[in-house]
Amino acid sequence: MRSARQYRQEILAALQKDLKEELDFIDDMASEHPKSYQIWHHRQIIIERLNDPSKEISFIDKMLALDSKNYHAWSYRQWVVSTYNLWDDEIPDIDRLIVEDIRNNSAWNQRFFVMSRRPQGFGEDDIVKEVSYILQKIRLAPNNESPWNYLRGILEFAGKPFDEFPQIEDVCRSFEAKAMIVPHALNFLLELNAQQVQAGQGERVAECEKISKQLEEHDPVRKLYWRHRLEQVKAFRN
Amino acid sequence: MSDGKARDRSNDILYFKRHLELLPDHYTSTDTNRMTLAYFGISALDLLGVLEEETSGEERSGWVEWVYAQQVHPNEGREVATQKQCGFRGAPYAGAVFDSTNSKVCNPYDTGHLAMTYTALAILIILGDDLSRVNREAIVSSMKDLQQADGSFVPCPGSSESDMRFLFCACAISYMLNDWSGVDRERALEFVRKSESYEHAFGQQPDQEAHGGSTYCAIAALTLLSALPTALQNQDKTVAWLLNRQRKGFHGRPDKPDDTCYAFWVGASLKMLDAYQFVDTQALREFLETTRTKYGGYGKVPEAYPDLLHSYMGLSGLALQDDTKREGGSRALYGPLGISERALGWLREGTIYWRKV
Repeated sequence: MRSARQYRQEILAALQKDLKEELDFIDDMASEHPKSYQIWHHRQIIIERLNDPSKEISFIDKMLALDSKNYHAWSYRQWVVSTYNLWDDEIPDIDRLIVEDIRNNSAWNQRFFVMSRRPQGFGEDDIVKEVSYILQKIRLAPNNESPWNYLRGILEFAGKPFDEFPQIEDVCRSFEAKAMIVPHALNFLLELNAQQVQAGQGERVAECEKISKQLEEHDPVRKLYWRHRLEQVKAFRN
Repeated sequence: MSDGKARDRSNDILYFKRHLELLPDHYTSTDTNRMTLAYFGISALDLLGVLEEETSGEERSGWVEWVYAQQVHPNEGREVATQKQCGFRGAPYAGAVFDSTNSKVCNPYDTGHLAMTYTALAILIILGDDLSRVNREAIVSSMKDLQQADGSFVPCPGSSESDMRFLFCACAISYMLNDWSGVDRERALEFVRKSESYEHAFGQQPDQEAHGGSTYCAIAALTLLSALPTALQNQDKTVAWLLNRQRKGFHGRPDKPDDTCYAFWVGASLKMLDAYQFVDTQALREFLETTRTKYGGYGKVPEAYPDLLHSYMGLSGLALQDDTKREGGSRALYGPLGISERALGWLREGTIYWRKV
């Protein structure tokens, strides 16, 4: 309950209670109610008053071990990392979480947060390294949506079109050679071909039709959407 | 309608009616949100098209009185414009005495709450009240104090939760009361824009992971602010992310399991972006059949017991479908406010802040 939490903050201050003991209390409460907004906000206020984040990352890791996609835990983690300047250790920790579960989209989001917000910025070397990291993860689990979304996002953030990295197209085509159907890869190829149609290469429509057919067949829940995408491509040509 | 469908429908009706009569004890810990639970039940009967025939006039006017008894009025002797605590509370849990005409704060923690104000207004509109006892000036002036420097809202004075949920509530309240003076619209828009993630859907706050629930709140707020599609970076990409949330049913983030409630959050977002026609509604209905329970209502996932939130959201998800695809007798949903199209008509024609004099 919100008001009980506010009242607790007030009496903790008035009675000058040991806030470290309060953290132990929160540890217990958080394990029982990991999705309570109030507990996480309560913890944030206590840490601000103590001005000591030394135990926070290990506390959050403990909570993420229970549920690696806990929204409150990740939100709190962003606050801790940016408030106390803990950027340097964050990438290795995220790597570990992605290795544990390559489909953990929350960890991918945290990776984007660090790359886009850390004080040292994001340069030419960084985007090259990121693309190769992402493609390696895509090869491991091609139907995993997270790295595909992250790939688009980080290229956009860096202001790079994806044809600047031909290795992306190579990876997309490599599945075909292995007779693997990967809708995310086909979607990329569709987009690439659509851009070429838009740039005046009308003959590319045939390729778009072929890809679109495969998508309709292998991603049938979005069949109407793939048809719509093809219509959009054809409209470019006209 | 087949026998099976008619049975499901009458089970659903009974499920919501039972909860409006007596809440099971496991809702005790959510008593601070009782207004929201009442909204789920009452709006559900409206969407099922049976509110008038399945409930008595006495029950409906009793609910209206109960809702008004949760309205926190200005303290006497102070300018309304200086009030910060007004709006509706979720229930009299802090000890407020029943008073449907002039209820005051009963202790410093007893205040209005944006989500409760939003659902209270929704209930009043659904029940055909003309909002003449709603203290608009007090609500709007309290709301100004809840908006944060970044444009988001906290739900009540002294709270530290501020995110897309309460920004949406503030927009819904402003729309229903036809008065936007409690919201700095530019700052609100800025907050929504900054919360669009690299996936082109929305998190609860800037930098947070895109999520079906916060994406609904963002897109509904943008609709109410008349800022679609201009406030989106790339509408096609937002639509693509939303459509990717369908496996059979919908889920809220990549690789999360399908969950009944996203039939509404994601479905309504697609509808507001004119892209609902791409949804595989057959697959969605099949998924919802697996979470619909023999007790009436819906669970979160297959085999789960029903609860009010998921029951209401499952029903709302189906109410987004075209007239020809909805179950017989049910009413269409207006996504941005979470009330039926019928109730929206009453808001615009029958309530005092909308009615032309």
